[in-house]
Amino acid sequence: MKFTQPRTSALLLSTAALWAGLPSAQAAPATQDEPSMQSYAVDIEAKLTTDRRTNGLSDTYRRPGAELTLSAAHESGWIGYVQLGTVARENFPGGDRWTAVAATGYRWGQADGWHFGVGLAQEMFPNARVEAPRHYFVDPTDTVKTRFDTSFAVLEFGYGIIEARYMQVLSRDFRGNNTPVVCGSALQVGALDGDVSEALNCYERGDHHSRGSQLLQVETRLPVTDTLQALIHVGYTRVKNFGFLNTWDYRLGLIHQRWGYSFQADVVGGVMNNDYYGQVTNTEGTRARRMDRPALVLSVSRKF
Amino acid sequence: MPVAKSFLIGPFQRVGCALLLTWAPHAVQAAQAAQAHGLWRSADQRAVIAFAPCHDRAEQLCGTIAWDADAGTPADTCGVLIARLKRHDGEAWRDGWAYDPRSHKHYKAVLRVQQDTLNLRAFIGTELLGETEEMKRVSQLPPGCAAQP
Repeated sequence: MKFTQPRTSALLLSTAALWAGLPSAQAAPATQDEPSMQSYAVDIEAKLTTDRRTNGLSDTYRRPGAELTLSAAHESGWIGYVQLGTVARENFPGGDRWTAVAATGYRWGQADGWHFGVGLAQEMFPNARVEAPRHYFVDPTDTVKTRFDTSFAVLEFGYGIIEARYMQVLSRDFRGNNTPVVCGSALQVGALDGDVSEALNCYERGDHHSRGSQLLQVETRLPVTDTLQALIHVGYTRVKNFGFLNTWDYRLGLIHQRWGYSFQADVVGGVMNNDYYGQVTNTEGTRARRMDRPALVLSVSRKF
Repeated sequence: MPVAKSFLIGPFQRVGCALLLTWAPHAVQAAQAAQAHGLWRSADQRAVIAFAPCHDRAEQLCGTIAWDADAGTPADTCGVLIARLKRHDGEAWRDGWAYDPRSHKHYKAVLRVQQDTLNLRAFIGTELLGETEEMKRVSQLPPGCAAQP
């Protein structure tokens, strides 16, 4: 018999799964009636997917990816979370093709009623960095180096199987979104078809960073049968100072448990205020691909 | 006329009603507690758990693996006690533990029954930090386990 997890969080401070295979701390000495209870739990999950999406946008240039997630919970309510995942160099130039998310926080409340969580999260993209002009059309030699690492404050609230998460960006940029990177990217896309007017408009808005960006995600998993769940996720990303990047995202899917694995099929996509910025060029700069395009994403995962 | 009719209830009848009102919640609670009794199939279909009063303390509820898809293999868990709940508070069986035979770990547990669905939630600290195993009632036990309860 293997216990299943009826609901999980998709990102960051996920509910730590129990019934894990790792050693856990033991409480008081056991008796016949009162065995020693676990005081914390650790869960590891490995996942393969046809596309790794974050907030509706592909992090793998719409190619397959993988992730490994470790979540831990202590009986006090403390939660820890680390996720390693693959990303594409097209999305995160110069990087090592992987990312890490680390989060910690505290959860309280009722499982079937109102429950809450607060925490901090850090997203890292090792060696990913862009050096781009502050204003290409004014002084192409005045460049700025930008990393994609991002810090978040996280607030979770939920009722029963409905989970909501609000995140506020604390770092100077949200995933590297600043004028040199955003407008430089638009310039690369514009160069493909010989029309750089969008990039020009972008630079004309001035030199900005995106600290204070906000994300809101609402998600639920509805039981369909003993082994099947329906997933409904809606999110909104508000990018500070770059309103044209604001994005609604959605994920509608089915999760089937079989042979100890979770098989998932999702329709995922994003709706950006100005979908011109949903395009990313390849590393050679010879063609662009939409990162927000709706897609059927297939995944298989297993907990250890 | 309903109001007038209520004055017709005599003193013995009133005592009877009072006793009935006192007794009824306990009867309902006992019936709710007993709803957990029986055979329950795990969500992955790989085990059937028999929930019944504990042999050593009949007021408590014990869950034992009565059938395991791995019966006869080294992973056989037939007969393993996987849950013991001490009291039923009218809403759920509480104050107990659940045991994961795969990891050999015990967790705090709460058990609720809604019609033909039994939810055994194992948790650490508070119920929020836990997982629920949803089981469905079955009437018959598949063959396999040598020592069935």
